[in-house]
Amino acid sequence: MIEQKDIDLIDQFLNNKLNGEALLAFNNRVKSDTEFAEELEIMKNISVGIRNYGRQELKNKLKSIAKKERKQKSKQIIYWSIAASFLLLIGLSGYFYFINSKPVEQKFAFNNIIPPFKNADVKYKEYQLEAGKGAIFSYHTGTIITVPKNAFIDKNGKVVQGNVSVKYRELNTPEELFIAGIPMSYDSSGHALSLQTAGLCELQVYKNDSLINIAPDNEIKIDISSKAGKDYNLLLFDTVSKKWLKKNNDTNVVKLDEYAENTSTQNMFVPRKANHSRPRFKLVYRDPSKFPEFEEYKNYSFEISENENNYDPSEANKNWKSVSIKKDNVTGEYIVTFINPDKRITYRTNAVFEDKDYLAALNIYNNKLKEQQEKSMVGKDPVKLKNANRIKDLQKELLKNEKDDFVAANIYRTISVSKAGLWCYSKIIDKPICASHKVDFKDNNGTTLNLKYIAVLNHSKNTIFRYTPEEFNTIRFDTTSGNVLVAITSDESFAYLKNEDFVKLPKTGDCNVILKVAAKKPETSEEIISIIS
Amino acid sequence: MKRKYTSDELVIQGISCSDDRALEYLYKEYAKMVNNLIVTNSGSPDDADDIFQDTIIILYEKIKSGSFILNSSLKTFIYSVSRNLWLYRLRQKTKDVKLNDSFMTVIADDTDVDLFYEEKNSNDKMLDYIKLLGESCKKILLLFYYEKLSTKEIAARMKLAGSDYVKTQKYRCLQKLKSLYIKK
Repeated sequence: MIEQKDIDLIDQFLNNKLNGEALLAFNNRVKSDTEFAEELEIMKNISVGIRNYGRQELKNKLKSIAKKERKQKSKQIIYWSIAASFLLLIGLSGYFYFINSKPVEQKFAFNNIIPPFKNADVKYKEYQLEAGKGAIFSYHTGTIITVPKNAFIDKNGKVVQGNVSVKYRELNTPEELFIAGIPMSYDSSGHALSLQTAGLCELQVYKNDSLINIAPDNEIKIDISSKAGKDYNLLLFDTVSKKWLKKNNDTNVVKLDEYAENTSTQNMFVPRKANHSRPRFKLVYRDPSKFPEFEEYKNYSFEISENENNYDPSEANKNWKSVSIKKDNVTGEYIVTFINPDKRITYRTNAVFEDKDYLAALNIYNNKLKEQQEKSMVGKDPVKLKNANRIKDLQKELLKNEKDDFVAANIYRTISVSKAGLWCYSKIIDKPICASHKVDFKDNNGTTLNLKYIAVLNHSKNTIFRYTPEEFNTIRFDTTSGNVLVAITSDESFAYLKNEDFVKLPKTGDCNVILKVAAKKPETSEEIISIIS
Repeated sequence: MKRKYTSDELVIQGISCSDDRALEYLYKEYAKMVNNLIVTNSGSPDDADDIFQDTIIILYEKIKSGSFILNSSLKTFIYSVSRNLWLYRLRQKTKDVKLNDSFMTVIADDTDVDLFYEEKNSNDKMLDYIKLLGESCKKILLLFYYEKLSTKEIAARMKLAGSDYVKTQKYRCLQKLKSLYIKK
């Protein structure tokens, strides 16, 4: 007797959802159980039949769309001819609308930077410096902040001297964006879009606890640790208009490893000047091609290295059957071994030149170096190369300073900060289209929750989609990636839906959503992150 | 608030959650392109409509089954599927047809056009039996087997009691359809 569970199994098979042992067991059953095999055949026919029924229905829908579109096209012509007479009227009504609109409530207002839980905000790192000297700082993500000297001015435009403090933080995950209350909406001529970030930071400067400004002609450079990918624009959040303003296109992303010094230049032979107080010897080899790095050089000899403690001058007067030579790639020294049947001695040496030959050798070296560098940088943008070298130098300097727990990153984008505030490299993306409608938010006990803040944190887009109160009964989300829903109730409790529960929500239609409510108001950012991850 | 369709990615999302505006967008954006392709290659405007609709059906089914990967752009996909569908139809006709040069130089798409048409032309009887079912049965089976919705999603969409209820109903509908099919 075929039961519901057998049908479920056949459905899984027809949808290619059976794998490994389950598929093996299924095939065995088809061979041994004739009733089941017959059922499978019928179900195959049924599923093709339903597919064809679905195709017919969809085709009818498409036909009616085509009909509607044709009708609209013919109407459009009439609309255009009467549109002009309405223009004046629309202008007037727009004017009255703006006069009557009231200021938005500050608390949780859509486009303000307000952390939902004031005490649990993402912390700033604070750096002290002397304004007249400037400084270089690092952030734990690998970001490097370069403050030039005399970079700050007071409200009268006078250069600030003495100690100042720079507060800096980065908000790199959807959780941090939510905790810090960062608006991630972007308005493009009235069309509401979102920002997908590849690095978002905030910088503020203080002198004796009062905010000061950055001198416009003396910008602070932030080399922010970033992500690969293109189409990220540089944006600054304007606190007056409460909008993100586009500052630059994404032109300066650098991957440092793409600009690594070519190993062939690293291992190149570097001529040294002979030290007349040290012993040296000449070698003539049978096969010069074994040492191509010496090919163009003339009149060099091998000088016993200062690191060599076992040199015995008496060995120099002996005859040796053979000599071998090897390069130490770390020190650049040549390890020369003299071999006789009964003895072998090894010395660390450097290849050196007498004064006149040294200058000629240096010339050859510089030409070879230039040639190699040009070869390794073929096709590389010279501006990016310069930027990559500048960042690499900063990294070296920070790594030297052991007090700083600096971690060097590989991908950087550079921000020239002319104004304190919120900066980011972001891609402008559409808000999600799929939605559950008429959503009723309830807690575990089935009580309807009164919410004043709802947002969906989306990891693959690295953003938050926030909803205005008018959108609260519709949750829109990107069905193709992981989401976490966060909400705040009218009594300031933290409610949430983790990704594992979010995926169970219907992609369309009406639904009840049961949110978990945190037992107490979160007090740190770490607490919020641990609750929802 | 209604959202506008502005990108290929959104259209794919919209179809995956059965938003009909995604279909309207596809019509507005691409019907003209397919029309040009077909009428300049020995087809009539009606043929063009038909090919465009079948192309969208193929795209729709790929998205619903989760097997659609956007390698280039929707435009390229739609163009190449339309072209393959039209080539298949032309092969069925015996008369000589005139094709312009660019028609033959498009990179082939891997969509199995032959299978699509063979399946479409088969099983007419089963289609008749399905039409004999009640509205609710037809809808449950359609949402489950064609739209690839879960029983929970069907419950939400049709405002039914819940996932288990949908499962039982679906089983009953299948039994009914089976009895019609076996009685033949």
